[in-house]
Amino acid sequence: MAVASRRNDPLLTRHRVTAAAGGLAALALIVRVVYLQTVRAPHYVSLLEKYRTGTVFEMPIRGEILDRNRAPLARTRYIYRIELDPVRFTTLWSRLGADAEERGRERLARLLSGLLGIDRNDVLSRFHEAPGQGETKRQRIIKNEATLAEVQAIEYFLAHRPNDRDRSEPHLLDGIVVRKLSERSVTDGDVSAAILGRTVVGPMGILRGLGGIEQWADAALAGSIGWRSGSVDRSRRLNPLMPYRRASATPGMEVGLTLDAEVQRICARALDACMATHRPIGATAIVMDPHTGDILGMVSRPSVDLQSPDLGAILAKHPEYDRNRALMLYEPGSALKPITVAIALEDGELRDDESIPCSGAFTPGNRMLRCEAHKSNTPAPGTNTPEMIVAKSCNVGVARISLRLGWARLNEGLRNCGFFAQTGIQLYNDQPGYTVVRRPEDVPSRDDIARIGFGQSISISPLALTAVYGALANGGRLIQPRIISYFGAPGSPAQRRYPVHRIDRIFSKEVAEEVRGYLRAVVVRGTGRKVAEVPGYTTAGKTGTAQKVDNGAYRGHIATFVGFVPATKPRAVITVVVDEPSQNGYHGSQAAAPYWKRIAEDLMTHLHVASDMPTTTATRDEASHERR
Amino acid sequence: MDSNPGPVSIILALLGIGERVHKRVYPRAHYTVKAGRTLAIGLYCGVNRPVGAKLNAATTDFRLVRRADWVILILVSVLLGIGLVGLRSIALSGAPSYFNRQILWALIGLCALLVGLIIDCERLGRYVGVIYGVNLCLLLIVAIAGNEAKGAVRWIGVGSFRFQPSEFSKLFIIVSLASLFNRRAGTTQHAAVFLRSLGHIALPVLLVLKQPDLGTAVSIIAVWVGISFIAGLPLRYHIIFAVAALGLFLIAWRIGFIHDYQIARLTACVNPDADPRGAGYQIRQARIAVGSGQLLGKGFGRGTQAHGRFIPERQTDFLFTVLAEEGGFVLCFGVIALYVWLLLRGWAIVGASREPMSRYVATGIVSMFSFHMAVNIGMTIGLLPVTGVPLPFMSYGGSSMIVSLAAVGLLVGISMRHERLVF
Repeated sequence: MAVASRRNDPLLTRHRVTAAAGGLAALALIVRVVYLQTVRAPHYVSLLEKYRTGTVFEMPIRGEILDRNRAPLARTRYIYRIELDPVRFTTLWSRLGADAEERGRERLARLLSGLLGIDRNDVLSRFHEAPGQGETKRQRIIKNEATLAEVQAIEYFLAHRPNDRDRSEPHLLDGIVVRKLSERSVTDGDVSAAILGRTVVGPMGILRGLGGIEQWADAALAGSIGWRSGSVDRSRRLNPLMPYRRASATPGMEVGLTLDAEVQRICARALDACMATHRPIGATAIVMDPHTGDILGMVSRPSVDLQSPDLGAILAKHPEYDRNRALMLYEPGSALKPITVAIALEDGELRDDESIPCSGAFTPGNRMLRCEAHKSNTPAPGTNTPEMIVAKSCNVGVARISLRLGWARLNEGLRNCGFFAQTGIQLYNDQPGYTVVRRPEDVPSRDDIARIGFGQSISISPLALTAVYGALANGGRLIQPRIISYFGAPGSPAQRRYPVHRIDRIFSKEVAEEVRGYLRAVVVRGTGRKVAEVPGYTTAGKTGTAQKVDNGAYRGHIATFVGFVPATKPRAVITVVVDEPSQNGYHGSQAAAPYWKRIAEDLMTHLHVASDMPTTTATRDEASHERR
Repeated sequence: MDSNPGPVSIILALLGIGERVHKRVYPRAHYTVKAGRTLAIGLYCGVNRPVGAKLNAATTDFRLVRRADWVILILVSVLLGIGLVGLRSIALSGAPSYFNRQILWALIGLCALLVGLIIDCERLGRYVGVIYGVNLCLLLIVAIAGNEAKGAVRWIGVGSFRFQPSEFSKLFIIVSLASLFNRRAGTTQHAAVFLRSLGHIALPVLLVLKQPDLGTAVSIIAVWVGISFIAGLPLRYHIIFAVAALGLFLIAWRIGFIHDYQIARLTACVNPDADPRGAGYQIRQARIAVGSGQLLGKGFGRGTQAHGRFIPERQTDFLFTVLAEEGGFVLCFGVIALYVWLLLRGWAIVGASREPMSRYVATGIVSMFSFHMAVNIGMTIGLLPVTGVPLPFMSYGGSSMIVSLAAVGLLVGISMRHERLVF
């Protein structure tokens, strides 16, 4: 090098000193980099793993609930909710001072009002308000149903800083959250509410069923949550460039019901009329296909519209409004008599042509019981046949039949009818019925046996009663009622089917036919005369008027009418139960039968059932009975 | 032996690189290329006489070109390429404009480099008044009508572009300061030279500080230290200067001339965990990025810190963290080694310069690069406080790129004119 000749030049020394100083500086840099990237590296890697990885969840859409004609009863749609996290905003801005925070709020409010078309002051006031309903401490709803364009605008500004000029400020929209929610809507208002059940927002915003089908089929309806896990950016969104693991969300399956939306409306209309006329505390109607066990209609009153904005308040005040009364246990009263008679006939203890004496009152043990049917006109000897007992609803006759059967056989017969087991319907609250005889080794008194025979001191659900009437209608086979017919992913074959399940033959064909005749007699010349006739169709059924026992004291009545139509070739079993009718009569023939008739009439039209009894013939037929 | 030369060989020959080897291996091609090149340049100079006359000195005299330090040019190209790779990686995360524009800046910078090559430093002394005046004017325009961004007024808008006069001012000051010491050569022991040179940089430094742009202000002072040290200013003046600067700093602090956030930045370097969301945020994030890069890095486009927008200014002042995260220690060491090599080559040019003016200009340029490299890398790895100093050739930014490449042009120009007196 040329400098070699200037060995003693002081400038040369300075040149070398400077070069050495530079070399030392470079060495310092290298040492520092080595320190950071080897010694300290595990620490920084662990920091990254701890704070820079995140999981983003993808919510599945909840499956639809369809009626038997694939019309949706409950469906889900997505809504986008814009939320503000005031805690996050304050955390980010407070370090700049109160003034800057206030200015930040102003600017945020201005931006949001421009993007979402809401009032600026509304946004500002949300900062100071206490969390409202459905909000947490870190959550203030700014806009409940934002349009897709609004969501895109927000997301644009989330990705690009709106306050780009000043990097010392936090991102203005940091603290704004766009939440994708699924909203459940029911298509028929309050009609099917008790069956469908509610949905509530569960953990992570996924909808969970509460009550009814929503709860029973929750696992199928909910689907599974999808997720992506990987490294996140400063806004805690997944970085698409980095490797990530993922599982897609599986949409919820659709659930096909046996219900018919139109039948639901028919039932609801009839019950609403009943509620208005008799002012009961509740009423329920069940329509079942006796051959398959399909529940075509099941409505409870009073009910509540699940879309109602103050649903929570209503339910807090009236918790019974979302109860499914078709599954609530009650004492069926006289409606059980045909079944006791059928059990005795099936057993052979009772013959269809024998006559049971009745003198208007009877004391099986210690307590005297009265016969409402024969308190003034005791039947002539030999005329109180099983047919007349059922038709006139003779308490004494049934009590005597029960005592002849004895507890063991009566209990066995009732058990065979499935009263002491769950009906097997796909709903929660499907409780087994019971009698006052709680333990198997208990021996009931003669009073109890007699009373159980005509439907007191025994609690069963209207649905269980319907199922056994279904057996009478279809020739003696008990069929498990079903309300869900299948689950399946939308548009693909059903994943799970619920086929018709015939539990057992409980009555022989002949007995079923015989008792069907008795039930027809109820309508033609018994307690159901004139109130349960449907023009053009033969009907068969039984009234029931039970006294409600509350802590040993009688309190009100429960009116029942259960029967099938057409009587000759039953297409549907219909049950109407009215709890504590307080006006215009409480008897089964007054409070339940007329509404049973309305349902039956509308149902026959809806199902296009061929008439089995021309109106003129019916009149003549009735007239002939009258003469007899 | 006379085989056909490959395209690379021809391009090198046209540029006048490796001519001797070329002549030995491909004698016939050598003369063809030389004739063609001479003809092309001759034609161009014939058409454009004034340019031709200037070009003549640099390009038609191939002895000059041969002596140019092309190692520096290659090192600069490699560093520039690495910087582009870093910007390309950032482009993947949704900020493509930096990469695209940086290519444009690099091309403009290449022109600046050629201009720098053509300019002969020795003749620049004559225009020093103009250079100093232009520099002050630009800084004054910024002070009066500059554009604000990120809390500082540093830019002048020209159409849709903005340029940063403080970057250019570094180069202007190098030239004018070198000229000042050149004129006072031999009398550098006098206090007058010390005061005069300080006065020379005082006004620009104050104007830059006012923007505020602490990094550039300190780098101008670093240039002064470098040139004055090599020019032979006695060490006692440097010590006086250091003491005075410290005193001024303390006074400025006491009277509140220095903002609190600037102090917070200085202290944050020592303990960034004290305020992890505020002053210490950038430093902490940068350390996490560098540290998690480990030995081999996470791979191109895989830097979670860089792509997650955790590091502010990752495309400009903190580009090194992107490289450290994605390239690991291997790339860090490589980049530092390339810079050290480049600076040693530059320092060798300083040592080899016979003419004081050239030596001082070269010293100033190498001081500037050294300062920028050490301070920038130092701050990204948490050794030095954060000040706005770009990494030469790598950080995104048009002004910085043009100035850096022009400075390289000047430096290489000096290297090829070393032995002019010999002819």
